[in-house]
Amino acid sequence: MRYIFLLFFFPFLVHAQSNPKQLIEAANQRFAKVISYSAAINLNFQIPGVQLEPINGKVYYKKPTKFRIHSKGIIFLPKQNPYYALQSVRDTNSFTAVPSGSEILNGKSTTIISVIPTANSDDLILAKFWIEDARQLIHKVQLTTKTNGTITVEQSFGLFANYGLPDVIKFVVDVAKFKIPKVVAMELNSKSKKTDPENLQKGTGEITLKFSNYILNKQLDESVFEETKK
Amino acid sequence: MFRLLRVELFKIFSKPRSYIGFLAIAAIVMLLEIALYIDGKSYISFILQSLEQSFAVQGNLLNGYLVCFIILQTLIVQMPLLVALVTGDLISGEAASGTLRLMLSRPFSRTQILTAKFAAGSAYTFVLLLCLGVLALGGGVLLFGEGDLIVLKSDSLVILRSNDVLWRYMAALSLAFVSLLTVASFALMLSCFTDNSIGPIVSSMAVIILFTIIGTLDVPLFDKIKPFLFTTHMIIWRNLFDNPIDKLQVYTSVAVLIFHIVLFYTIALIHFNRKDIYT
Amino acid sequence: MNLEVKQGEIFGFLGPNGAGKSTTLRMLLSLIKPSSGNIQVFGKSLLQNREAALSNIGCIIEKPDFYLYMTAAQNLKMLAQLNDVKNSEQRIKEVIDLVGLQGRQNDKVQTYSHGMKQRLGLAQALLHNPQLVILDEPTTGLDPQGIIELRYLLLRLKNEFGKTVVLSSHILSEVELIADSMVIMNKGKAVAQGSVKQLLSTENLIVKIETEEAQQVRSILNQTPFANVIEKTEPQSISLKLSRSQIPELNALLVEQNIQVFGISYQRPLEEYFLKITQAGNVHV
Repeated sequence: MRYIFLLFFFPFLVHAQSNPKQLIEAANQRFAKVISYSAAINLNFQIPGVQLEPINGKVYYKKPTKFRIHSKGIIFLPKQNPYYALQSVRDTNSFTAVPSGSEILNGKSTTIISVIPTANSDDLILAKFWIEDARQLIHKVQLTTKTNGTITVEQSFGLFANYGLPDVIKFVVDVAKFKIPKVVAMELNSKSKKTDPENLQKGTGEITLKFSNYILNKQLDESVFEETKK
Repeated sequence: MFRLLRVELFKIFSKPRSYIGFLAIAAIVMLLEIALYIDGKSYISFILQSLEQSFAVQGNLLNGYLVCFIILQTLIVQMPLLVALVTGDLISGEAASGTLRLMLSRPFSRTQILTAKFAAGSAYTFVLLLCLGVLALGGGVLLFGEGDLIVLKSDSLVILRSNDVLWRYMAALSLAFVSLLTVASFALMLSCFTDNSIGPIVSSMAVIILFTIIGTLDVPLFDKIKPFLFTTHMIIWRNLFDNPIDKLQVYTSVAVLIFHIVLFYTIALIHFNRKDIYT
Repeated sequence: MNLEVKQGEIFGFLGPNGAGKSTTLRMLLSLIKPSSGNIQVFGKSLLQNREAALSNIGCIIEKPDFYLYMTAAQNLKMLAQLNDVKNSEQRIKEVIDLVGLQGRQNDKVQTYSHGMKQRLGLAQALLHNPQLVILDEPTTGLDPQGIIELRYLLLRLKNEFGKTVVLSSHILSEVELIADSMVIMNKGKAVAQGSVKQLLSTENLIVKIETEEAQQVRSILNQTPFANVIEKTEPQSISLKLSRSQIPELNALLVEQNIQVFGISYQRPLEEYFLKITQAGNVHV
């Protein structure tokens, strides 16, 4: 979940540049404006094999990499560690950026930039960015890592677009089929409703975060970034 | 009738055997809670291992509601036995000890006596279930705190938000009461047919276990009779943790259980009123 | 069987084991349904008015059984509640005193001896002050002192408290001592019924004379009016049917004739009959 940094470290007010590395560098510079923020979020889950009602929470961010979501209930968050991806693209010499075409997303024209790390030891295999031509906002990121597979992140912007802060982020994650023995589930002779088979077929899960009430650059106590007990 | 009920309640609650159920529940609940306290996280990890490959799961997973759910599932077989232990003895136990003729020579009809015994047995069942609820739910929340409830199924998870759980437990315990009342009426019915104290208890358990096995097996022949077995409907309380709840299924099962209660009670009443007391 | 028990009397229910005494008593308490007929208790039909009929009956059927895990007082308190006994604490104390269990009422019944249980059985039968008391072999297991005490208690119940007592037994002498009327049952039928005085009169006794000169005695008696009443002659005895008042006359006659008599005993005909059915169990009337 912490990889969400990735999105905010890339500037949203990047001028369209023919050099993709320059585009990414500009994004790095851009995000420096956001030192910290907190916001209210609503989390929504569409995960095969998991039925989970939406829930509200609070999100905290502090430069450079601290990020935490607090919620009263159980939440599923993407696992990918954003630090590797972030580190990989911070140093413009550590990766190759290649323009990979363009696409219309959310009604906006975007340029696709593929990022390939040059060092083999990185966890990141490939990153792809869809950057809006007009406002240099990142509408979509696709990360492929060695340890955590592929994750896709889609964003949409509203009031805080100038700061590059999205209203909605949607994560799409590869999901393994959920199965546990009937004995463990103690489901012997149960007449419980069977799970919708169509839902079970899907191999990807989606987590949607809706942001509201951003408070920018205010002092945040370190305790909010401490891991809550499981 | 109220006098009779008071006496029957007094008899049940002054009998040492009646407390076996409470002790058993307390022991089982305590053991399970301790075991989960010590090793519950591994259990959770095992359940979520496939999901944890893709997600970081955050929240109080091992909470009192989950612990209570696990305990209730575990006691599916034990609770009917503990109920039958007392209700199966209501008539046959008195016949064996000779006190049945003491009761039947009082100025009460046999119908009144049997009804009072059934009511007292029901009250015992209720108190037993209440004890289970308090220990499992109350004890669980005290030890593990509140949180969202993970309802386990073999092919999916249903996670209910904490503010949506408590009323489900109240409803589930109510349904469990109806289920156990079915066991109580069945054991009482068997109790009317014999003068032997242990027979009805063992027979009740044998029937419940047999029906449960039939209900579990995926055999086409059994599929036809499963809907008619009361044990099939005894676990309907679990359905209250679905989202959304299939209300029709719940109502159907409750109706089937009530039908069985009335049937067993009627058979008991007819036989009890007709039988000659030789003990 | 047709039975009638008068109010305020002690009625004896006699018969060998298996005659049907307990079965009949169970029918009186509607524990067993009669195959036909009607039972009325104090004018109320047992079939139609069971509760009202039973409210006036106290009983011990076979051995008195109680809730062993409770004390005697708890058992009685519970039964008092069932019978809606007013001032139950006071009444329990009264019956405990009446049956002689003072000081033991707070002990668990499982610690009681058989005799104590019998007493407690009587206490529970009297607890609600019933008009009819049915006792099924109440002297079983009692020591001789206990039997005497029970006898006096039953007479008290009749004379002092005006109770009607139905008492079953297989011991004739026991019933004879206190009963006003009785019935003898055999194989489910009443074979003799009436007042005790009438059934156990001292007329027509079977008098048995033990002597080694039985034939000689017979010859002597053949010369006298006693000739018509000789029942049986055996090598060592001779039996005659006499009234009790005739025994001294017979005795004087034998002494006069220098007959060595080793013993004279008598039985009432009913007693003899009862002994026969008790021992053989195959007598037809």
